[in-house]
Amino acid sequence: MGEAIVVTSGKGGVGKTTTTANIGTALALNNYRVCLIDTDIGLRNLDVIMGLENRIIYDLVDVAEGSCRLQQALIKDKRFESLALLPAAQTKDKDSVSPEQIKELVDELKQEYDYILIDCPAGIEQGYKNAVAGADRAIVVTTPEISAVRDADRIIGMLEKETHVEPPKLVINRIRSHMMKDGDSMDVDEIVSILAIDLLGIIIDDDTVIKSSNSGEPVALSPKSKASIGYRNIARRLTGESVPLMSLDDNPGMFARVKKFLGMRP
Amino acid sequence: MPRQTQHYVTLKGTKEGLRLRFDDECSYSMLIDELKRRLEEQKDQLSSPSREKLQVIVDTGRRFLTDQQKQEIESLHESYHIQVARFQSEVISIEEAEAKQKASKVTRLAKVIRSGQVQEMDGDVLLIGDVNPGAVLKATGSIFILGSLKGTAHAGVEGNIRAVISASFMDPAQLRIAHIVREPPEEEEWRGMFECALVDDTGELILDRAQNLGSRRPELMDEDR
Repeated sequence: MGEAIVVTSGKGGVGKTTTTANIGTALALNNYRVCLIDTDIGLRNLDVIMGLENRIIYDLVDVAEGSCRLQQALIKDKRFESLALLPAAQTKDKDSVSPEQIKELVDELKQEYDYILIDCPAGIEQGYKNAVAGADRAIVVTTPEISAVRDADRIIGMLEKETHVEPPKLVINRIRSHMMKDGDSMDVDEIVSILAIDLLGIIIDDDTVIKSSNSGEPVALSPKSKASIGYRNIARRLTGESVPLMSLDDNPGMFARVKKFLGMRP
Repeated sequence: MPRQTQHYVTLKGTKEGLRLRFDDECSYSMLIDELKRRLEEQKDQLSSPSREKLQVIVDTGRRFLTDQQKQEIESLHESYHIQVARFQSEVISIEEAEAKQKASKVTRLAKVIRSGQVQEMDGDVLLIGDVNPGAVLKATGSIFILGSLKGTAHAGVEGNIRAVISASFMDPAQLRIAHIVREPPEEEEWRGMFECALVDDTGELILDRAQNLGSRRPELMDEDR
């Protein structure tokens, strides 16, 4: 029996879909059976980022309405046998499915997959309710911006009322280490102290993320990028491994490391 | 043969003043009849030499009087130029008791109040946790926060101007006590640790060190041992 994890944020544009795609890919890399569900009906993106857009025949609404079987709508990933995607409908809107329908669908997928990642739309309305309905766990994505943190706080408050969801975990996306170090953006500790939930991981801002999203190859596949390592670490932590948090310093030289060891400020 | 009368109403002089003690076992109508008779009889003795109204304390013992009955007794005295200073009773209604208990109770909460959430409480509140930006905590009494206050706190919602707001980390979006609102000045020098907010004598909402709370609001203390 698998676990369903909803990826949500409240605010739009903080990287929910990218995070879903990459954590899913990283889990598949570790040989887990993973199914991604895009619940952003009317504004689907997950298929584009996964590079699977042209394979879509049926979608989430078709399955919910019973126009096709679940198996027919699932798209197998190009790269991993164990990774599948259930795309959202592009032409309908969020009211065309109900939370009960999504829950039923997720429960069915849990029989076959280890992890079901649910990509939640922005906002706190119907789309959010649909996405959360079937989830057992939740990941809240935010960026080091005051507006994103505020919306994440709102979503955490709403998730706390969902008794079937475990306390949410936090992913801080798009960290610019130099701005954080100079105190120009909120730092990790500050965000964690406001939101008061466990930190699942941090993703350092990286141009390759945009590049790879545009080419339909999740960044988690390229082992060199810092963002990729961040996503892989998150995937490992999700499965219960303990992985230390990535350092924000670019390349601490030997001298800096000795100074740090001696307890001096770098 | 001297008439044997049961005295339902007894008049007594005490240190506090004149005290009318009502019997609490007879019927209400009998009590009122006797009161009327006694007031009529002792009209001359009870009228005070000066023009001032005579003050009496009415002790109803274990009898519960409704507001209507109290009014009736008050107006009865009034017609004899006597004022009821106060009613004293050994009993109160459950409603009153609950209200009293609520008002004197400190409700404990252990949670983070998050953006978009509004928490409303009766009486005083002790919050172990934070009030995050965009959140609101309201109480009819005072608010004490073991944690940081970054959102809005409103104490004395029903008009209690003596209510206070205290937090171990004070960085509020807005503070309100009763009807008074404090928006922090644009360029406020941040002080932050263990502060309290209260309304001073000029009616302005001010911030002060929480250590000064005891002298400014001595009623906050249960008892100083």
